Amino acid sequence: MSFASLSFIIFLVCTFALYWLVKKREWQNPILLAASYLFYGWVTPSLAVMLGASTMLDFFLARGIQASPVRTRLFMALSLTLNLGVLAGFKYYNFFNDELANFVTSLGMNGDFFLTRVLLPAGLSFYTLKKLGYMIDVSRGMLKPTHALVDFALYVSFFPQIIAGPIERPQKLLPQIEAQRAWKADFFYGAWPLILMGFFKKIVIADNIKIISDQIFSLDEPSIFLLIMGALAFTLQILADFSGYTDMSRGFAMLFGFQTSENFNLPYTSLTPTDFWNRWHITLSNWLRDYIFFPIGRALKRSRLNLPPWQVLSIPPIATMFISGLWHGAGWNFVMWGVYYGVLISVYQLVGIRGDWKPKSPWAHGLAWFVMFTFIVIGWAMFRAPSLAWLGNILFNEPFLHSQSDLIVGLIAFSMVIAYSIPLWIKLGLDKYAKDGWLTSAYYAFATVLIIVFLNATFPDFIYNQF
Amino acid sequence: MRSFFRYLILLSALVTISWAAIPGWFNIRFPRQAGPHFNREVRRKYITTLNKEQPDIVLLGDSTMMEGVDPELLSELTGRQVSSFHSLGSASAFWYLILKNNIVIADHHPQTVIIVFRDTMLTAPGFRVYGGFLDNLDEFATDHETVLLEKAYLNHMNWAEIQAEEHIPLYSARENLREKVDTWIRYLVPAWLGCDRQCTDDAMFNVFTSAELEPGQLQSRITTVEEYLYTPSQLDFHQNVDQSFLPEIIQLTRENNIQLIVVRLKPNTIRTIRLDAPAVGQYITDLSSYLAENGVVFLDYGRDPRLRSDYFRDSLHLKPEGKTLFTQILAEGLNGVLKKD
Repeated sequence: MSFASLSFIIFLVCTFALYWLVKKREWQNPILLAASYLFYGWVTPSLAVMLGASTMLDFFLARGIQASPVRTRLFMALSLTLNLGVLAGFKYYNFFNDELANFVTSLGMNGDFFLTRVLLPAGLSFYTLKKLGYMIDVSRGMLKPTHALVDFALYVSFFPQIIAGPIERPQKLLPQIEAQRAWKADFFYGAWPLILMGFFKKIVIADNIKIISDQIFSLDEPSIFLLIMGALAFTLQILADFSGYTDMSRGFAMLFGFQTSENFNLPYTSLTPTDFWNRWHITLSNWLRDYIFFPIGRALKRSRLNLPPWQVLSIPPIATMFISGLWHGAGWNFVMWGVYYGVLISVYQLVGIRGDWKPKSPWAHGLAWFVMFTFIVIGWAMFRAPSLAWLGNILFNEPFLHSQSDLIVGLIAFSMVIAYSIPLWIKLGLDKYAKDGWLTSAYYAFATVLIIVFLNATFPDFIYNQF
Repeated sequence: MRSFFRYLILLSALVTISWAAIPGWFNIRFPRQAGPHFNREVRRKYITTLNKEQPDIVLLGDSTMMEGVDPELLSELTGRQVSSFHSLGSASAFWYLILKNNIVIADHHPQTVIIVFRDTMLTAPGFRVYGGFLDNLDEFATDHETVLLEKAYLNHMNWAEIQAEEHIPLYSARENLREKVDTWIRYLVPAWLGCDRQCTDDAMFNVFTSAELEPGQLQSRITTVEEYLYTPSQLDFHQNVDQSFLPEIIQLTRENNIQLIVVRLKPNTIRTIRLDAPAVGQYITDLSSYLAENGVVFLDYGRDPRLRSDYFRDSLHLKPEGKTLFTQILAEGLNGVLKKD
């Protein structure tokens, strides 16, 4: 079910009314759980069944860890195998199925069956990380497993978050699920600007800038100049798209009395790669930091390998970002994108520039920002490229400009990036200097008008739905 | 709370201004009919072709037909004069309009109209009717296309959308407003460099329209669009047939004594095997019975093993050697069913 469909609006209104009418937590949670499963299984009910089965399994495995701590490793191994197995199966099957079919055909059998495309269930990558985080925390003794299946199932499937996060930690969401909730008007007054901005970023900015970025990245051999402009367009598109989704998600959660995590904190103002990952997809970065980066770092420090310090410093970020790349998708460009950030983080750290580095001179600040922003745009070019071969061909074989037409189209793309980013700059200024004033209200009123104007028959999926 | 009420006041003011300004600005009267508004002129392209070429057989279809059937070879093999009325990206709404506003009103009527389609296209009236496809439809639509409006547009809109299109200027004129914004962004910077509108449009054409697309991206675009034809609601034949253009197409050909043959072309099985293949099978069985009841000849090559995967250049389109083969296969099938002179 899409956030921008009439069926979702009806679903939201009904769930909202029923949820606050019953008042008691004992009823609110089952209602929200049923609504979340309805939302998730709306198009393909079998996905909800799969979600339910995997949720039950982790619930009982976590209880097993509590009941029998000596078997913690066994239960964790089971959970990791099943969760990562399902995720890898769905995510990477399509990557290997052509080879698999060829192999079966070479054995003289009909390999057509293996050519069936398997669609990645929406949200699988997100709720898998949620469940794994819960299991790891329980196994480490950092979290007591909940005894209420409904509460745990709601934590995993909470509908505002199930499709594309935020990847909420159990320590933050579970206590809210377990607490009594009573309606406050503040929920609505906190939620509406988030929901409005979410729709605005998605419908007005992301879906419009997507047109030029898609067109450039669909070309077989664009010039380098067009590639740069396409990458700039995608840089804006992915921010508006994903942060728009997160705003909506947080707004809808707030309507039901939940405070959920922010996922973005002005990521394109970062001065270093570490700073960028502290501001971009924050809940994923935190997850990777706590469950992959720190354990690798600790293991390296404790190991008897006696690695030189630069390796001890470099391996954790490169390995973590490699996994982050794999998590984002089955394709060498995603892997390369992850490793690229891992190497960037390592290099910055090796030259002594840490995540919280702030140069004193404004010129140095400006230069640091420009360098980092260029790295970000290059990263998105890798991420969006149809393949690494395509990107390599452009960088090594294509001219900077094919013709005058390239220059004109590139400038159109650039003017679109500027035009569609202006509202974000204005919002930034309003948040800083005129929060809750008439100007901010006027901004929201204009945003609503623009949403109506740009409301389309089609509402392309959020980019992060596919991960 | 105060900021929310301030927002409501300002929004009401903006909506009121739009209510007053938009009708005059775009010359629109309210309430207006929901859905697209077609102009009165109808292109007579195919009428001219019909009267000039006097074909016995007219082929209707999209790019898969263009790259799948060779009209000259088919003419040679069937001994009939064949004209191909293909339009890239066309679908049932377009074929209905060509039949209604060109073929049946031409002085020369072909003996047979052959529609070449894929899977559920004949009962998907809302397929390919927006964006550039809307412009194509407008070329062949009059300003009174009640059936087209209802089946291709209104039936797919919910009540709220229809009300908004009829009564709310801001919503109803959103295409015009969007065009204004787009024009402003698109032409402003090139104009500073001395590149006028024509120069800008030419540049866009040179870079995008005439350039090659990256094969993977092209495939992905095709798949995304085609997936609509395989959604559970589209695979329910009985639910869709009365809402589709198929009954009108059958009636128009019957009233004008034109034999209608529908030909199902095979998509590349290798790339489009679907988990819901049984549903496609059931759909084709139902379609087949319906066409038989209405006296329409149905030639189904949807699973023809002779059209091997290596004859396709992507998931839909045949290579030249595949085109020759399929034309021969089609001629074989037609020879037994074509209406006698």
